[in-house]
This record gives sequence, C-alpha cells and structure tokens, in this order.
Amino acid sequence: MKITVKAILIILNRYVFKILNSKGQVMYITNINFANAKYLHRMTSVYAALLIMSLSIQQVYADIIQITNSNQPSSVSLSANSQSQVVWRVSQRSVNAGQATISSLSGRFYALDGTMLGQNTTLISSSRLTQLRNTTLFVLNETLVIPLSITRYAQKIGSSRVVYQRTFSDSQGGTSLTSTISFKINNGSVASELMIKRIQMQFDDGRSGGIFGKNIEFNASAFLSYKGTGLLDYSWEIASPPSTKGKPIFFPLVTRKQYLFAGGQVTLQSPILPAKRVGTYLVRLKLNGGNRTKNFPVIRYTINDTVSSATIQRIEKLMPRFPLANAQLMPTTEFNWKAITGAAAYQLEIHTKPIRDINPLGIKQKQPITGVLIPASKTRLTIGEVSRSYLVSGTFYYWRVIAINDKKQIIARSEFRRIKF
Amino acid sequence: VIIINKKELPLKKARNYALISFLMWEMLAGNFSIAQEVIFKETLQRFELLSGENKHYFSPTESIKIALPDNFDEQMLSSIVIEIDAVDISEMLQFDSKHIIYTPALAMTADTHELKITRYQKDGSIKELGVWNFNVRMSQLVEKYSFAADTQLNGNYRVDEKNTGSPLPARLQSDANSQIGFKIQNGYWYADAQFDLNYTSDKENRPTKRTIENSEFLVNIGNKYINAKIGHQNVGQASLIMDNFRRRGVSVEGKIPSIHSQVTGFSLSSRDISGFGHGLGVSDRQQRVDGYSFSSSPISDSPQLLNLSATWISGRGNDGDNFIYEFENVEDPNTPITASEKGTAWSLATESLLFEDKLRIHAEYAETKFDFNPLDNFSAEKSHAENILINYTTVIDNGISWNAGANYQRIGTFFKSLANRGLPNDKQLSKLFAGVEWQTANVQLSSEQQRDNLDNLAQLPKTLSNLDSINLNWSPQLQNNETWLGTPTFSFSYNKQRQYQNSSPSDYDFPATNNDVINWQASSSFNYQTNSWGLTLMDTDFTDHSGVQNNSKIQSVNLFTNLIFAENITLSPSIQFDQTKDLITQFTSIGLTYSLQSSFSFIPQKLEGSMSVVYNKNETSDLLTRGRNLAFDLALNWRVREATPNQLGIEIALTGTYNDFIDRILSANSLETSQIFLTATFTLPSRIGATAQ
Repeated sequence: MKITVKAILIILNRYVFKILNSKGQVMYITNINFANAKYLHRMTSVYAALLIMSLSIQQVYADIIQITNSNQPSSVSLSANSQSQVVWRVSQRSVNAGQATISSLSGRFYALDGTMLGQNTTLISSSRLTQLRNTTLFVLNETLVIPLSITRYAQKIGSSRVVYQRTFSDSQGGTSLTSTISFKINNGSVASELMIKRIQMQFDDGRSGGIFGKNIEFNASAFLSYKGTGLLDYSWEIASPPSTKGKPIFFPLVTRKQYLFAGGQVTLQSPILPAKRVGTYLVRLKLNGGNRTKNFPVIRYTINDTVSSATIQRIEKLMPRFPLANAQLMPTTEFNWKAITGAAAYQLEIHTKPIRDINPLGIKQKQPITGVLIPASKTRLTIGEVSRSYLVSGTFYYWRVIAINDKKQIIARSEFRRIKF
Repeated sequence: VIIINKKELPLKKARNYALISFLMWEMLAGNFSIAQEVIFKETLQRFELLSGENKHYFSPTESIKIALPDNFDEQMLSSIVIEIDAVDISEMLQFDSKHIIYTPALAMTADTHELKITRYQKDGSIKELGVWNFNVRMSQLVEKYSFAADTQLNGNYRVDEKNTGSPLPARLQSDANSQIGFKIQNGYWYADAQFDLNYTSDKENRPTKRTIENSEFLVNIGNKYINAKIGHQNVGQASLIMDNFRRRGVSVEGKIPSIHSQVTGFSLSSRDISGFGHGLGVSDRQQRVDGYSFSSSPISDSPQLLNLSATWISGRGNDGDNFIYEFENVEDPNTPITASEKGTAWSLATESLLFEDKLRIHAEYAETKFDFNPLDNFSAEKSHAENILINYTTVIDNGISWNAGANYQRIGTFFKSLANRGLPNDKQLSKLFAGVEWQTANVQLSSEQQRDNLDNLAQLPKTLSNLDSINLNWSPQLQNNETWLGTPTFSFSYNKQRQYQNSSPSDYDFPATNNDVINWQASSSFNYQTNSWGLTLMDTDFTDHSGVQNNSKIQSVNLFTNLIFAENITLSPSIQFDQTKDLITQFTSIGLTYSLQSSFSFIPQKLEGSMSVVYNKNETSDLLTRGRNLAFDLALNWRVREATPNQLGIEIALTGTYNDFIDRILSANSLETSQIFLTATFTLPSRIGATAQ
C-alpha cells in the first residue's frame, strides 16, 4: 500500500496533516495546536514516527475515510485532574447500505516522544443508517478525564503535551482508522484568567448547618480558592420562610462585583442573615456570569424562638446613649443609657469582640475583659483606673450594657458598640 | 510568717533569714516598691474571704463575705476596688463594721471565680490587697448540671399560591426542630453534648431522605488531663496542612498543664458529612483522615515566649459535596471514587512573642505526600511549604504607635493536604508591611510579590505578581456629637496589581499573562444615638494586555441607613448601584438593587410584624439582559401565650411571600409567584438545672 503526504495546510494558526492514499482518499487527519509556525520544526521526529506507525496499520481500502476532531479545553492542568470535551467526527463511505456502527474500545495517552502514559478503557460508539456509496458523518462526543498522574508523567519525561489516541472501527466494513488529539500542559489558567477552584461554605461559628436563636446576628462565609486574577460577580442568595415551607424562592441579599487579586484565596462574608422569623432558611453563594452551570452548595439554618436564651425571659433592647460607636475611651468618657423598668442593677461589659448571646447550657460563655456593676438608681458611669488597666492602648473593644432584675435575671441588653482605648 | 506572692514562708528555714535581711535592708533603703509586696501578719492586717454556707463552695446566689482587717479605716473604702472576674462590683457592696458583703446581682455561674481587692494609689500604681479563687457549685453532689431542649413545632397551612410550579407540596404541612444539650461537671470531670434535630413533613424540603434528621453534633468528655470529643470539631492549631477542617470524627487530647502542653490523636471523616448517616464519621477507611497534633509552651512562667506545635496526618478520601464544591474535582469514570486520593502530611511550627509581646515571630515548615490516584502505577507527589512571619508593634506613646513586618511564604508546586484543600499551591509570597497610628487616624502600607512555577518546570510559564496597597482610617473625635456628622468614621484604600509572565516555555502557544488592576474604595459611616447611615464608593480598572479577558471598569455606590422610630419601628433601607463597562466592546452593564428591611410592633411582645422588600434591576447596553425582580415578604405574629421554662408557648402567624420577575428581552422567562401561609407555632423550652445568664 502506498501512502503519500499530500499537503500541509495552515488554517487559522493550526497545522492540519492530511494523509491521502493512492486513490486520493483521505486516510488520516490530525491537528496540532501550535500557535506559531516557527515551532513546527521542533516537532520531534519521534512524534512523526509515532504518526507514521499508527498509519502503517491502516488499510488502503477503508470504509472510514476521514476523522477530524476538536477538544475544549485544549490544555491540561498540572495541579488537578482535567476534563475536556472531545468531539470525534468520523466520515464513513458505505459499501453496504444499512445500519452502521462506528466505535472505539479504548483510548491511549502518549507523550510527544511516543512513550505510552496510560489507557482509557471507556467505549464510545455511534450508530446510523447509511446509504450505499454515500459518505455518512458519525459524531462521537467524549467527556475525557485526563488524570493528573498522566499529565505529571508526561511532564516528568519532558513532554509539553499529552497526546490522546483512539482507533475507530466500522461495523460494516470492519476497517479501522486512528486519530490523535493533543493537550498542552499548563498550570490550570491561561494568561492568569480567573478560575474558581473550590468553594467551602459555613456559618461564622464554624457550623455548616444547625439551629440558631431568634434575633441572633450571624453571617455565612464562603472560602474561595482560585487561580489567576479577574472579576468575580456574585450574589448571596437566601430563601426564607414562608417560601421554604412550600417552594423555596431564592432572592439576592446582596450582589457584588469584586476583582480578585493574585493570591489564590479569599473569604467572602454574607451580610447579617435574617433571624427575626422562626423557620428554615437556605443560603447559597451564586456566581454570576460566565458558564456557571454548577449547583452551588446550599447551607441551611433554622431559627428557633427560644434557643440561646438561658432564662427564656424575653430580653428587652436596652438603648445606649453615649459614647457613640467608634468613640475614643478617655478617663472622662461617660457611658450612659436609657433606664429600663424593673431593673435592679446594670452591668457595663467590655469585650474584645462582640459575643453572641450564649446558649442555654453556657457552653460557649465568654466573660467580658472587664466591666462595672452598678445599682439601677444610676444610668451613667465612668470606668475607673483599675478597670482601664485590663485594656491595651490603641485597641478596639466592644461594649454593651445589660439590665438585671431583682430575681437576678437579665431583662434587657444593648447592642455592642465599638470603642477605641 | 512572711507572705510573698500569697505563699507563707516559715521563718525557721535558714535560707529565709537571708531573704528577710535583704527585704529589711530594702525597706531601710527606702525601696518600698519591693517592701510593699511583703505583709507581716503579726503587724499588718489583711482582708479575708470567709467561707459560705458550705465550706468548699458557694451557691450561685449566695452572698459573699469579706472580713475587714482590724483597725480598718472606713474612709479607705472609697479608695479600694473590689472585682469579681474583672467586673468592678464596688458600688454593689454592703458594709458592717467588720465585713464587706456582696449579694450577687446576677446569679453566678457554676465555675471558678476570682475575687480581687485592689487600691488605686496616688502615684498611679495599683496595689493588690487580696486575691481569692472560689468555686460556685449547684449542689454538693454535682458542681454543675444542666439540660436544655428547645423544641418547636410548626403547623403550616398554605392559604393561597400563584405559579409555584408543580407538583405542589401538600397544603397542610408540619415541621419541627429541637436543639438538645446537656452539661455536667464535678471536680475535674465534665461532660457536655449538643445536637440538633429537624423534621419536615414535606419530602422535597428535607436535606436528606430521613424524616427526622440531625445536622451536627458534638459530645465532649474530659478532665484536667484528658479530653475526648465525638462529633464535628476542629482539631489543633491552624497550620499549613490543617485549616478550616471542621469534620465529624473522634479525638482524644492529653494535657500536661504544668508545661502548657497537649497531644491529640484524632480520626476524622475527610468528607463534609452531615446528618445521621455515616455514624461517627470514622467507619469508612476510604474517607478518613487520621493524625496527631502536639502543642507545647515549655517556658511555664512566660508561655508566650515560645510555643511549639506539630501535626501529622495520613488518610484517604475527598471533600464531599454537602457544603463544599470543588470545580476541579473531576472524577475519572475508570477510577473507583472510594480510592481517589491518598495522602500524608506533617508540619512543625513555632510562635514567639518577645520584648513585652511587641515582636511576634512565627515560623512553620510542612511536607506533603499526595497520591492523586492510588490505583494507578504512578508514585505520590512530594512537596513542601514554609511560612515565616515577623511583626513588630509598638505600644502607643504620645498618641503614636507604629508597626512593621515581613512575611515569606512558599507553597510547593505539588503541595496538597487532605485537611487543607483550599490552600493554593505553587506560590511564593514575599511581603513587607508597615503602619503608623496617630491619635484617631492610622495608615497601613504593604508591598508584596508573588511568583509561581516554583519547581522551574520547563513546560510551565513563570508569572510575577506585584501588589501594593495603602489603607487609611480616620475616626475623628468631635466636640459635639449631636451634629449631622454624629460620630463619623472614614476609610480609604488603594490597591494596585501588576501581573506579567516573565518566562514562557519554548512551545507555549497560549497568550502570556499581562494585566493590571487598580482599585480604590472610599467609605464613611455616621453613627448617632440610635440611627446610622453610611456611603461606600468603589472604582476598579482592569486591563488585560493579553486579550484573554476584556478590559473593564467597574464603579459602584452603596448607601445604607438604619433608622429606629419610637422604639417599635425599625427601617433599614439600602441602595446598591454597580456599573460595569466593557472597554473592548463598549457595552455597559448596570445593576441596581433597592432593599428595605423593617420590623414593627403594634402591641409590644403581643402583636408584631416584619417586612422586607428587595427590588433588583439589571440591564446591559447590548440588550442581552434587561429585567427586574421584586421580592416582597411580610409576616404578622400574634403571640397567644409566651413560652417560659417547661411551659408551652403558642404563636399564630400570617406570612406571605411575593416574587415578580420580568424579563424584557425574553418575556417567556417572566414569572410572578406568591405564597401565603397561616402558621401555628408551639414552643416548648425545657430546662433542668443551671441556666447560665
């Protein structure tokens, strides 16, 4: 059998090797995704030999006359398994009309020097009705996983590409033809284009779900791992009761556009999540734009009326007056607040950071760094030198006031306000 | 008897004669700062904490009595401060001629408490006159015990709905939830546990197939020397190989209090499991991470001077898909998932705070060996990582303080740990930072460089990223806070990044990295007695010279307000405006979101309501997107009976939700939906034992 390399065509930065037999029929076609012609001479003779060897087993008399292919993406990552959508287009000239099946039992991975890297045993096939002496196109779609170990093996032996080869056979004529496609090894991101790799969701107490008390302030966080730099367009979405009692309807709590700088890791924090109504809530981070078809993780929480309340006693909101938020704590700074009916004492508390109302068991109870307890006849105080000695100059603290009744129970509590010492 | 540092030293010991002689000499020399620490029992009096009703402990509400020294001058009372757990209780004391009496205003928790008496002296120093630690117990048998179960049952009737799709859930449904926990403590031993239960009658809304399901649980048992945990937990200190790894499993921690040391052995699920399924999370060997962690601060007097920690892990498995999504988790159909990944890792870290805690030095080295597919014939990948941080911070002097530091981090190309999968690999970071704080303003500067392809792989490009940033904050203290400025806070940040490819492989046929990002953000907030508002402006320019991503400019404005009217109406409106301009196509995308959250009370604690409205509008100049969404929900709650401990509470609620999406490009996408529910909620908070405040 005689094989002649008919032509090398340059089409859109891509070399296409068409190999024709003596009858002028296309025996073989492959493409190499070299962007620049100057790299042509670097194609190793071994790779060329590999192609010739693969062709030498073909018969001149072939029902399969041509195979073209494409892969998207055409690169493989050195940091994880890679996936590519490969399309094989097999043209068959029928010698018998009727049902024909084009199939490939397995695929093989090679390095550019011809070293076999591994095998993919997935069968792909396509069946169609064919007409006598007509050319029929069979399209075989393959979702190809290129294991990291294959890519790493290729890289270790000096290959800049992973070559994937399949042999297709025709059920009618029993002929077969081989085609290859190559994947360029890269670091997972072209030109540092932004690629999200991983999202981990949780609430700010570390849980990824659970029951929270009514009116408690808490957030959700998403830990994002990514490669590259670029625009992240995302929304924190929530489905609240009553919709979660029927068909949950998500609506955006907030939509943000944020450029991610180099670094590979960012923590996105949601606004304070709603906790005024009892029931179940669903929270998710939705990435907008691009081809975001993934089902993003959803974390759920339930608001219970009495969870986190130690005494079950309804806690009133105490209204602090001064100092205002972000004030400087001076020796003369006076704390004052609005009186609460039924209070027997007030306790000013200074914390290093805002704390949640504790759970009924006191398991997570955190004591203030310092504070002052005064009788309810007063609603203002300045903190003394001894209390100030617990504070570090230049540090932000958070203060609040609690009101206590004569049954030694908390009956009112203010929000935290930030203050700088 | 001489008392030094609260320990009595018998005079008969010969070595103490020398000490006494020394102290007496110091007194005669006028060095009172030393002599003041010494109290001669025979000649000076001291305060004394008297026992309570029980010899060894106090009950939570029991009065505490302190005996005054003989000849105590009552005029001195104004100069002494008495604290319990650092809270000044001086104004809550009662006196008789021989005692100070404190009757707890708030029931004390069953725990060890510290009572301290100090005197603030004219020279500005604080003199400690007495310190006692005392125990509060709930009973003689058990120091502390508590049980709580907060159970809530909702009966929901869907009154009406529109376009909610099919199949619709049953019109009458129920759901319930309960948080259950207990805690018991006696002496050094303690045990506590907490877990949640959820029930939903509607199958579609269940997180799993189970009718009653749990999300997380934790059981904790231990004493002073050992602690065992079963359930969801984080183990040890965060490290390069183990971070954000809260997983279900079992751990046992042994403690050596004298040298601040602990060693922990653990076995945790590699997956983010939730619910009753998977038991304790350790039965599946293909999805399990085992390991040990050790931490010690061997300098017992100053533990902050040196802390050593080490972690070793080994295991198999992957993340799971409950609350984690891995975009790169591409499973090979030819490889069984159960053996997809396997790895070991170890890390060694030191942390020191020196020079009165001003200088912080953190250093860590870690190695990983990770097999991405144990079933193939290829060997596991080995890699290592280092992190060194040095930071010096001064204390404020004359209103000025400064800080400066450096950070070097290197994460190897194939560094991967089963317990820290989010850590980006193949990255070297070198960073310098410094800041100054002056009165109410501070400025922080940083400059960093990142590079990749650390293993110099011939097939990969090398990219350099330079990032410079400046952050300014100013919170001026105004003489009068009652003007429209209230208490203002201003902040400004500027970030600039230059990223480029400084080396390409010989046959690299992709565009080379070459981009610039410039971002600035200015924000302000104004706080008043009850209300507040703020404004944030942001502008970002992105230029990708490689042509892979389009050049763009983003501008956004956010205005928010929190208002309280007459203490029973709250309103929180906000407006978010974003404009993105594609500088290549010249198309503009505009997003506008108005939101209003409100709660109101018609009859306080009886008839209350809440409402939220979110209006979102998106359109692009290329007319591919043009739509708006209105989401509205409203709830009216009537509290029939308030829940109290061990007594049922009942509430009736009318709730409704309305969502209207209009797509002006493809009207078929437009959808208007609504649902109205009538709900009866029964709440039973069960309490036994202590209820901490």
